[in-house]
Amino acid sequence: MIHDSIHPACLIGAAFLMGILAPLISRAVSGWVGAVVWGAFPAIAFGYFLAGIPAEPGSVWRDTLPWLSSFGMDWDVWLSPLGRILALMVTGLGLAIALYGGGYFKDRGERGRFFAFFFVFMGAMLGLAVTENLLVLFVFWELTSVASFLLIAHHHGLDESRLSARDALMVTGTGGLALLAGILLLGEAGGSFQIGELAEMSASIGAHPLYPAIFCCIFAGAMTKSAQVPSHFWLPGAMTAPAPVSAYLHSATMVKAGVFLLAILHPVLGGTAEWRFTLLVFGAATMTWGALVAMAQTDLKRLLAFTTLSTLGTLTMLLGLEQTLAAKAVAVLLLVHALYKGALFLVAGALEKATGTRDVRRLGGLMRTMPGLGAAAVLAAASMSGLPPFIGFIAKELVFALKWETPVVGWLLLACGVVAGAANIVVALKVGVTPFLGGGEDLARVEKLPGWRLWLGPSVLGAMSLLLGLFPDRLLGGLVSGAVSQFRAEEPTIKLALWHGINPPLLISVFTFMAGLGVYLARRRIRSTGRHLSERVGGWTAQQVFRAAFQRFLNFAGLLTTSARNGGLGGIVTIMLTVAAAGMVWALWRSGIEGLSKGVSPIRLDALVAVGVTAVAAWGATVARDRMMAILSLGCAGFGLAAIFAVFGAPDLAITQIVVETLTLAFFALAIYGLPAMMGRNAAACLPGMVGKNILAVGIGVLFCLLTLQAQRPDLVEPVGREIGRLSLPEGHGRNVVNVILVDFRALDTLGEVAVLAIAALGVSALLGSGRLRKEGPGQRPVRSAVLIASARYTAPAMVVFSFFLLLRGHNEPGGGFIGGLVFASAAMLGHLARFDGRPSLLRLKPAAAILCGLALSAVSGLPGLTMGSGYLKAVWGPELFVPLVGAVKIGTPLLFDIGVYLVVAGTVLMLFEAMVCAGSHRGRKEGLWT
Amino acid sequence: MTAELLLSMPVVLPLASGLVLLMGRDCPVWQRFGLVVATALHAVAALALTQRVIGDGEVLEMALGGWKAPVGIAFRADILSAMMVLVSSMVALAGAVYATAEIGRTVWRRRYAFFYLLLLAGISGAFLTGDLFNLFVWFETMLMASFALMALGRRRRTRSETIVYIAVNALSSFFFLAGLGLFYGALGSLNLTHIADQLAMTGEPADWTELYGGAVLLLLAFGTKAGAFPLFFWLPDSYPQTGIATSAVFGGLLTKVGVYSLYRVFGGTLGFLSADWGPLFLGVGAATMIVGVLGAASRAHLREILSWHIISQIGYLILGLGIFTAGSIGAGIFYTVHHIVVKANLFFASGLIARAGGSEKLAAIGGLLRTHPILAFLFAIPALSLAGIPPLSGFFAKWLLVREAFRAEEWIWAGSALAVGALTLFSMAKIWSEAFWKDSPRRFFKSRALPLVQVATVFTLGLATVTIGLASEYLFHLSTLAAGQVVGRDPTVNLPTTP
Repeated sequence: MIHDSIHPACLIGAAFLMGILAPLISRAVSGWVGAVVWGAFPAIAFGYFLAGIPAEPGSVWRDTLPWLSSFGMDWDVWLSPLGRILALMVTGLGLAIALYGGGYFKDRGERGRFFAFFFVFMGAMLGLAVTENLLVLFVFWELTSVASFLLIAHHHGLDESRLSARDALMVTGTGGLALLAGILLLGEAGGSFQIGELAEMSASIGAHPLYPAIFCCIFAGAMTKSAQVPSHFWLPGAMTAPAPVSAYLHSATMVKAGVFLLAILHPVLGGTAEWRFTLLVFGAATMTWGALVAMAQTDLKRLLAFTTLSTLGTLTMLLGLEQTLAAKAVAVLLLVHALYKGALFLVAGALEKATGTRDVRRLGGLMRTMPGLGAAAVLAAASMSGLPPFIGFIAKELVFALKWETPVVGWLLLACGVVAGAANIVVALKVGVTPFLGGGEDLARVEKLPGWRLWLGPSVLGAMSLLLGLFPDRLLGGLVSGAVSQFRAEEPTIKLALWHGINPPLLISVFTFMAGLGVYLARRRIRSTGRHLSERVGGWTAQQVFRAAFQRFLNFAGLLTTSARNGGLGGIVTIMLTVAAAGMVWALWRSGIEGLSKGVSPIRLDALVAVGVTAVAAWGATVARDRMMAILSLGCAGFGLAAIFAVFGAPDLAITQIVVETLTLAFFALAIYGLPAMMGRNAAACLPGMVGKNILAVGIGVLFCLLTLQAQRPDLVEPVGREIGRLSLPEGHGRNVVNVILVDFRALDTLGEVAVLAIAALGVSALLGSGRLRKEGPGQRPVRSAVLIASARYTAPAMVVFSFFLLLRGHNEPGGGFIGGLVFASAAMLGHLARFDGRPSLLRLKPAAAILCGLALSAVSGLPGLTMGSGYLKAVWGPELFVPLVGAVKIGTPLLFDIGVYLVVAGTVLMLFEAMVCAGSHRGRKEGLWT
Repeated sequence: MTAELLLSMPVVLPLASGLVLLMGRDCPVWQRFGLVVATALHAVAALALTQRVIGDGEVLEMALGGWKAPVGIAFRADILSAMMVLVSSMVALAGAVYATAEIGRTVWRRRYAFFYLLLLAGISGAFLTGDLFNLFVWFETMLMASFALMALGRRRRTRSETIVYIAVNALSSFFFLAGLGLFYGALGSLNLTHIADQLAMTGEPADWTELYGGAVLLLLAFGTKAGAFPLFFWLPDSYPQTGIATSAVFGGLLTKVGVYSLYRVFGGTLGFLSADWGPLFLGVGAATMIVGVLGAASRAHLREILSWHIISQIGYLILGLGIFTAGSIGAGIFYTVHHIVVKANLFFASGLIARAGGSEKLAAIGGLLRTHPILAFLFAIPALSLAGIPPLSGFFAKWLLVREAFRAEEWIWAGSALAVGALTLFSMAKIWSEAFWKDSPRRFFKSRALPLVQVATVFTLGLATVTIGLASEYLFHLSTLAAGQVVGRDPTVNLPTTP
């Protein structure tokens, strides 16, 4: 068998390769050569699938290419009879379109773009046809959607084109996601993604509680792809695409994918009431609606598009009938429709090229000028109308016979079918006959005769319709009986014949034909009625409803997502705090508050005073209107905090807090320089808002307090802190545990935080614009206070010495690099503010250099440990040294580390100071305050 | 190489090279060169680490300063950490290369390279540390560095957005610190493994409701970092205001550090809370996902759309945590890796689009398909991947997550994840349609040539996306193993065998 020697996957790969190369090929070839090059691949592929038709109708060729086995995503390739029919359609039609497209697109770039997507689409469709694994099938399914999106907006400069492409993508894309959900659920229910294996489980799947969900999801995917009402609107919209695209994707192949999927999944999901009911209802509705709307159209392509809808509905309905005859009808109708509809679309495209219009009212009498095209059109139209001896006749007879034999709902379906049939006849006449044989006033003139490529394809397709009608059983019998056996899992003998004698279906056919003819003759009146009706309905076509609703939805989304940020920073912070409060309340509620008392120690008077001062000062900061008052209150709160630390035995923290608070005050003072002294009230602040915020603020505080009380569990675990306390002196060589933690136990944290400081300083200087201190400026003006100058002259150097003292003794007593650095920076700032001449050169430290050196020193001090193989930042100790005033100082890498911290902290504070003074001086100069 | 070296290099290298690059900042060539070399070195270090952790199947540990945890700080690299460090280093390298053609002389002078490298050090540190307080330190490093980078790239109206950024993040740092204070109060330790061991030893989860307070605060902190609903409002306004390379690194990496912390702390250490907290994560995940995509669908500015999509995708990741099976966490990790690459790439590509079209507003650009067909192709790869079109990486990410949701019978969340996918597809199609298809609204428009290094960056990351898609089986295998390590018990799904 040919599939064993050449794997179908090669063909799909070749199609994608063609797609990638298409822009290059398009640049290189045109004319005859082009036709051969473009047509070669589809022709070969068509021959390949034709040659592979098995002698025995129902047999299936299978192979598995391992891909993502653990996902259940091996590429199971099969050539089922239905798949082969689809593949033949894709390649056969593809051949016609490839020839046609070469002549239709004159511009090389445009042609390249068309063929690129065309071949990618063809590869994806072939993949769809030959894949048995549903997940892999989904991959191809989505690819066809994307290719369709790209092809619909071929004329992408037009707004309507892009909108239509978007609609199509949204509808089919959403359906695709539903399909994915369905496939996943099916996989869960059936334990496999392979159709063959699933089919064996069909009984259990049908009884599975997930079955309704599976069916709905998969049907939603198929329905959107095959444009069933009410998701049909994207298909007429897609008519903005060029004719070859409409012919190929939107009549012959892609829109059939949904029907195809339902057909191949029938053995898995079919046979249930849900299946029958859903398919019949949607199918009949689409069939009728498409037919009714089609009759009132005047645009060639829209006429064809709506009858395509009608046919797709018919196909869905047939699948819902679930009979052997129905399967036969589906197989035949798939082929028949592809042949005539493809041909007619191509004719419509050629007519548009030739005359510049697609309005049937302005087309007529073209047979003389374009006989080839006319012949093709008439052949296709005859097949579409279901005239014998065309294949369309056979299809129609099958459908009517089926409806005739169906009990109960048959009559209703028959009525719908007559409408659909009549519409087909009307449209066939309008598209295939009127433009060539009809007459009329105000006809469009032929501007340019279409080339041979534009009529050759449709003619072949039209001729095929005739040929297949003449020898149906010989040419199609094998394919169709294979398809039927795949659909029903039984092996009936299928005979296709043109003539069955005079029977009810024939009579219905005749009646339908007469009805169609009547409608055609009365078309002007019907059109005006139709227009009247459509005016009544106003803008309520499905497309307009979808677009309006979608736009509304987007507006709503925009409103929803902008509203929250309108509050600005305050709004965002309020949201965060509210969420935090809610979370904390929840946490307290979950854990219960009975255990709260366990962490409470006896209340001490000194602590109470400190807390009181802090609280009052903090409250004062929030209500102060004067900036300076607010800052001072804040500072006061900070000092209160320091007192609390001191009371509870954390001298290191207390000292640091005091120095930091002092420096912060100084910075604030610099920052508000030049701002008005009084703060304006926020005009938008209303009373309820203020009350709410106050409640929130107090609530957060209370909640934190409660949580802290509650989270103490000294009974259960031993805190690491105790272990650290034990290890500090013998292992860390320091009595001051805080400092040992900072420079030894958790030196990495310190290193990180020192880096944070460095980044902050450099970042602020980048933000404010760095520069050297200038002579003028607020911080630069000599302070007139003699007291300050006099005292600074002596205090600043003393503070520098004190900072060294703090640094060195830090390992054993309260102190350390951090505090030392802060004190040094304070000294330098003081010296600067007082600006006495002859200040010690030490104070002229360059901040950036200090930061760089300090950070490097800290980082490098960890390296000895690394090189000695015991890890980065492992302390390496040397001898003990006696320093006057300080006492014994142990020399080692932690000391180096601490010096690094000292430098970075000092540099950071000074850099911030410089940046702010400079910014202040710029601002001052701009406002004319410091001239 | 010793474990100590492997574990410290991803942090020490960028730190040291950042310090070196503080010098010679008047020479842009040196800064550019130095930044690329430094990030490349970091990538090499990350590769070596990954090779050891994944190749040899080892969990590396290091006690910093020679102090065994929980006394000292522990660095720890399991598969998740190694994967994250590796992906981050790739994105950082890409960003550095991209920045060479974007950043101007004054910005280099203002120590762009230093901040960039310190950011990288912070990110790597956050992925590698096994200590909660140390994690806080790296968060701070990242915050300050990102703040500086944001300030450097600022445009005229940026200052208020930058203030929002720093204020909100400072508040979240406060939550973090308070939360870990409460943790320490309750457990007496900050080492994640140690905490987990202690919790496991004492058995009953019901005993530990005291931890809820601390956990809530940590959740707030991580949630704010990650950009979870309703704490994300700082994100979509601030990211588009920075430079392209910066925003790509931010968009790719910063929020993912938050997600990583959520996975690490709430998936691993506090995994026992999952029964109680799972629904919360599910709800938050879904809300994040939906609100994010709504924001994206309604915007018409390139990087605003992308920023909103960050939020939306974060929702998926949180969903993975909420389902809380080893499979779903594995899917979430897979998603994270995919998303980092794709999102950074989209930002890079959007920079090229803006450069080619002259604006970031969709209304002001157009016609790029004609002038820059290659760019269209390069944009399409990450865009389709983000939208979850098979067989690109995003499809697998979404599919695996939805599959796990189905398996856990979380129908609603699975459904909303899919629905969000449809809108993602829409907003990608919108960018495509407006930037590439629509005719340019400018009458006389001279399109600009694009710098080759930037195009190459986008191309390389696109290639990475395709590779992730093709190698999805292996990556998911790794992710599930990683999830198993994070969760610390036997994964409940069947692990695939290593191909």
